Amino acid sequence: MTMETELSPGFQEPVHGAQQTFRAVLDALSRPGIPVPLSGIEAAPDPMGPTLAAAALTLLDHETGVYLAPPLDIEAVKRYIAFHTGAPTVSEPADADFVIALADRDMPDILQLKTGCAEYPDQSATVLLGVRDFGSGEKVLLSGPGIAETQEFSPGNLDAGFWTTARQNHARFPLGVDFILCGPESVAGLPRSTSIAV
Amino acid sequence: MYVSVKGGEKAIDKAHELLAKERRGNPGVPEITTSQIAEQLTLAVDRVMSEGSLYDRELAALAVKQARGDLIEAIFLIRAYRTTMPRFGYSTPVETSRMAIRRRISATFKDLPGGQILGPTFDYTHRLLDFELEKENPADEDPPATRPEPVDGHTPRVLELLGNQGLMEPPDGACPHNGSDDDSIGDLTRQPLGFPADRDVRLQNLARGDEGFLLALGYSTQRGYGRNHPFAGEIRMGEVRVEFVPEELGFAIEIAEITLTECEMVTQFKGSKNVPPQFTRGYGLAFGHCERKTMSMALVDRALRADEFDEERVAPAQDEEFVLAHSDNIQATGFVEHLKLPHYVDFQSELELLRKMRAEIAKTHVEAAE
Amino acid sequence: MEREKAYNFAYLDEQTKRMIRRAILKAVAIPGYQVPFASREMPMPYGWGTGGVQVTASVLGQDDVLKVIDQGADDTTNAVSIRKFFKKTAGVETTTETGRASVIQTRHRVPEDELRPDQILVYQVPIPEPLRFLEPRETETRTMHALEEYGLMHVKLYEDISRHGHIATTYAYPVHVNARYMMDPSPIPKFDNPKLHRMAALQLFGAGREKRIYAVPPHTQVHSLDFDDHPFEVQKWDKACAICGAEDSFLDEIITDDAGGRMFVCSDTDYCNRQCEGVAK
Repeated sequence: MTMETELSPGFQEPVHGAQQTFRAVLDALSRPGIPVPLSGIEAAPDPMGPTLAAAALTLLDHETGVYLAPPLDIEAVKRYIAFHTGAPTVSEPADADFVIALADRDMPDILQLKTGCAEYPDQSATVLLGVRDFGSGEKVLLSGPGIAETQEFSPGNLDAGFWTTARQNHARFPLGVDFILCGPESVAGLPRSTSIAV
Repeated sequence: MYVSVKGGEKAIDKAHELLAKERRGNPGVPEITTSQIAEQLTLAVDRVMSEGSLYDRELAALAVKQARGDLIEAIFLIRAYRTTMPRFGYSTPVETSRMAIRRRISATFKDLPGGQILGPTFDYTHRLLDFELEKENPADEDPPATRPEPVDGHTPRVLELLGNQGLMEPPDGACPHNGSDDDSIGDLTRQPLGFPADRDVRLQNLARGDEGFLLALGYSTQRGYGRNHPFAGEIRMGEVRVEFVPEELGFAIEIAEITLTECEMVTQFKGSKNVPPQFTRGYGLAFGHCERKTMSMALVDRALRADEFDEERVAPAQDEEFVLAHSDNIQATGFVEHLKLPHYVDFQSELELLRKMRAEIAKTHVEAAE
Repeated sequence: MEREKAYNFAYLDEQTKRMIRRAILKAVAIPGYQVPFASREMPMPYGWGTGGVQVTASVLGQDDVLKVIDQGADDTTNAVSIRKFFKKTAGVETTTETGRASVIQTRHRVPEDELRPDQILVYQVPIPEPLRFLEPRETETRTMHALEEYGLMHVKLYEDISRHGHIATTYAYPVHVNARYMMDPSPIPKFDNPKLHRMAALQLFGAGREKRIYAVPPHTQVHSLDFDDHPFEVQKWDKACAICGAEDSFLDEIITDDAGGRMFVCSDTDYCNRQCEGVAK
């Protein structure tokens, strides 16, 4: 028998919490590289963080397979996601509709995730990625839809390797995956449509 | 000075008041009750349940009343109500071979195990207006006919009898999700329709489809537009049990008993190098007593299976995109009737271009004349 | 206004909203691509804006200020009806002032005022597929989009030119988004097409009956199809609005008597009102 531990709560007001989170995520994805303030769920289980938890509870449900990358593949997070969203966990990243990961940890190979196909590029994965902050990382220059000219972007603990992969991801457009970067108090978007210069 | 039209809100409220008055009609005439509709306009209720895809006689009767007898409007009311309902899961497949049969006929055999049961049918009535019905008859002393209970026994379907002799394509061929690479049953109310569609989704689309549309398409196959030489193998109507397996229990419990009409058409035989010639099938199923609907559905289902039998798709009824994209009367009525909405901005654009083009032509003519 | 508590906030159940929200995010990530979604039956008929209503219901929050227009006007019956629907089910504040709105749902027009980054424009779309009238089959048009094979549309437009001397499409004029997907801008007059190009606001498009959602993110390139020898041009009027005197707005023609008398007035009622106020000041 497993020990019954107390389950962390989700949104205080599920309807409005999800709506506010969605609008922040929508705004973020519509304007790549600009962090959008989001309060998130304070009580989220470690090491998820408030904004990552809020994004997950807003977007996941029983129709979306989720892959939890280490170190998020722990019982507390699994139970939290299962209870609040009903999303089935998948063991292979390639089967996931959503991948939840932390930036400098065991991220699955982005290029192996679902990209959609030429007829249905929407049948692709979305990566919810926890980052330390939006200022301490390597600086890149973004351009493309949602960006008037160019946008500087330097999310914490994402290295050159990530940006190489992200550029390869963009090169496959309209196929590819979309990133929602979740910082401590804000979220930022990096859709497949964004071109990246290092 | 010109002032643009305002007061849309007031106009709408007044229109709704008028609508309510029209629905009620002459207040000197007793108001029709929903139970009267549910009991006496049963076939209207059945159609609303079928195409509204919600099995609830009381709600369907209410919808018929609210819609002033406009069945498409009633179906719309039911659909809009249904769509916000939470889902607990999917029932186990209903077993129509265990139906408590009230009507069962086969056009292919004179007699068969289980027998032919004529049941409540208009088939051999003479269509003469019955003026007796104009009178209000006192309540009948006789209690209403009790409906038979669903049987645990098995009334074999005609197509099974043929199948046992190898004369019928195996039910696998008719399995709802043949052609699909997974065994989950599709649900087009949860997943948008894609093409080509699997047969499960196709049948769901037809079951929700407009009776008139399917009737016309079925008819067209009989007149040579995708002919498939059909015989009504069997039509049965009666009550079946609906069972559901709750996750926490792990076994099936009965949650309802519903009336269904099922039609299996025996159609044109086919064979190949590997398979000796066999009859093929078309399938129809609907809530309540909807015989015309299920027969039409079975004809169209078979027509849509053209690819499976290497038949050339030439007729409208064989054209999957055409049939499935236009079968839904709620979508159809919405888009046709939306032409009532203002389009003056677009019309203005056309008008402007037309005037410009006419002016240019007039100018060329003048120039040519000079 | 107190919201009707018998239904969930903004009518749709949360499961439906999540499904639509996921589709919207995909639409934003792939500008101009039509994302299939499991559109629900709404309590208004298909054709009345069920796609736009579902999109609005999925983005709308308590603090939003909603504006609804049909043909540019806030007081057309269907605009009134949709505004009332959200007042009742979401209890949100509504407005007729373009500048005050955070979410604007529209049918057939883009407001004359330039929209801001903090606004979202939701279009009601009847037929989302720009190629549909050239090729009725979804399987075919989907392949054309996949292969970026848009020759058919160019041929059609060029045939117009050779036959009429003009491109005969005056509304729902096709655009090319982010130099990738061909998109139907909904049946707005082509007068409005230039406003879509690099608009600061997010533009979302909902087609309920056809079950598609698509988007144009802010600042995105939206090119109205044309030819070197026949550049894209918009409608022009040689008259000004008879009410406010505006010369830069889309004008509706009003028939004033049965002797052929007519006048022209702004289709954007809010713009017209403010022009009048400006003159008065």
